[in-house]
Amino acid sequence: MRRSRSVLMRIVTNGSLVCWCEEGAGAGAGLRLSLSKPRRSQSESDDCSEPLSQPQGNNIHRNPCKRQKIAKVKELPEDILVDILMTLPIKSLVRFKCVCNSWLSLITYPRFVRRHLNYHHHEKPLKEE
Amino acid sequence: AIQSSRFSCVGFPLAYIFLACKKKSMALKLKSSDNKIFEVEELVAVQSETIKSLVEDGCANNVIPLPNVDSKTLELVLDWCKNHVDVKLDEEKLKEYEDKFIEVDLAVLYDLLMAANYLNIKDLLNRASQKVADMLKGKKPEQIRETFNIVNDFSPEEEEEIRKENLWAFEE
Repeated sequence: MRRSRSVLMRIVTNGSLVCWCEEGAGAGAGLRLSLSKPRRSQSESDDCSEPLSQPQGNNIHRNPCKRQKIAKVKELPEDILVDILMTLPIKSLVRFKCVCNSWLSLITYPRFVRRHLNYHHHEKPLKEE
Repeated sequence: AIQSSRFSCVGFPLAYIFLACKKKSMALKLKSSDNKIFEVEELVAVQSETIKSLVEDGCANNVIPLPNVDSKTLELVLDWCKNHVDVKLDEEKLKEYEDKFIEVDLAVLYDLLMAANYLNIKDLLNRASQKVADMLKGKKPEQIRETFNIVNDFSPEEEEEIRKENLWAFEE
């Protein structure tokens, strides 16, 4: 497994993360392909994004307590959060820069700024109340 | 598909009727994360691009497991899909339905977002995102943190600096 991890770390292409690794060292038992959605800056987006995949086994032990569910909201996948922030008017967005560090870096990320500009150029933006 | 093209060559309208009926009545079985089985018409289910590609690849003959969606959410999602099958439904009614559908609390909205993302149902994802955006706009950063349970990881000085730089955005 240690070996496969090193392979995984190395093959990070710009669009998606694709990894081929051999299972069973030496025996060459088989190939495994893992594919995941593109994700930016794992290290800095610790608050607003969640790990690559949800462990499915967790469902069984999940506490349906409402408070826990609300707590999960902050772990919205980054691409969904980006889509949500995209539709916001610039005034709200600028104000949300001081929500937390990860929102600040997300909102000021040049590619996001460009997409936001583009979006509001082509579509009817939401109006600030 | 091969059969239908062969029939069309010789002009066999009955075959079309037969195929159309067969297609309409075909039901798919979806299994939620809590192991509940939902039987739905294919036309309803294929609004999810994820399921659509499964059907097209011929992998939808058995029960389709959806380990990321619980039964409560799946029920909501399928209700949405059912109401979006008939595109001829008049727009006003559909809008009324959507507005009513999306009036849920944040926890449910979160589940809907996750499910729509996983199942790849674009219009539901857009509508749910838009709803969250509506909830966010006009709010203060403190309210956002409270709503989303986000910890403020700025020092008071850092936060003050960002506020100073963007004073206009904080004016009423």
